[in-house]
Amino acid sequence: MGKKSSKKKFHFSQEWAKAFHKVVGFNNSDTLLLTSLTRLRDTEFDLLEEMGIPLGQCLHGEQEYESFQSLTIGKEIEYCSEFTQFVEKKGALGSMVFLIFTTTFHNKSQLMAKSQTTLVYLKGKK
Amino acid sequence: MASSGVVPKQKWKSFTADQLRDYAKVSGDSNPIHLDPAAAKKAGLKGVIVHGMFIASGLEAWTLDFFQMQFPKSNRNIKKISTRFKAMTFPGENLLIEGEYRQGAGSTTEIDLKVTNEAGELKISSKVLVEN
Repeated sequence: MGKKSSKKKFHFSQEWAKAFHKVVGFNNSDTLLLTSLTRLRDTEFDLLEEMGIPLGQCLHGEQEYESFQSLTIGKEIEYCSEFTQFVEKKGALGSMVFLIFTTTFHNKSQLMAKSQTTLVYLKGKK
Repeated sequence: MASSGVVPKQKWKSFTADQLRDYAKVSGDSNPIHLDPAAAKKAGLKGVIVHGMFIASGLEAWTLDFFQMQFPKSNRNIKKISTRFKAMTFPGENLLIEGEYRQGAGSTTEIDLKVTNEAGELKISSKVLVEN
């Protein structure tokens, strides 16, 4: 726990926003959905890889996004994830590990948003 | 602005395997359990499942449209979204939305939404905080 990803940057271009909104069914071209930040989950995936956990054995359990500044098209976002919590439970489906990551999103050093992701790692049946 | 109200249960949408591929490209989430039936079965699933965030983003878009219809003068500025993925959604499943909204702290509205399938299985619950 406490393991941090490297920092990455992503530019929310008009082209990307148009493509994302078309796929998810959003008909407003002026603003970005808060959940557009899902595009920036690659730092979580990087941490999973470093931890030796296959993405293909993880389910998405919970997702929270909190906005502090409006996320607008054209902004470049710098982001970084941290692995913050680990809980293992045993049940009928075998051992399940809950992995919690927090990610912060900045534009020009200003905190734009933060997220918390809970993944469920299916380690297989007992 | 009304302080509270109900979002009546209504038909929403379903997802196709082609749409999952399109979403994987644009979102960067290429987890094989969403794209490759063999990989999904290896993970213990009966087939590929819809990306939870695909549904969540569609739900955010739906929420903004709903808010615009209910409260045309609102800024529709979403401050927080908390989503729980309760059950897996498979391509072809018809999804429904229902929920309720109430006045939140300050000039905000809280919206609780549930996405279910036609059998009533809860797929997603979401709490959205909107600045009016």
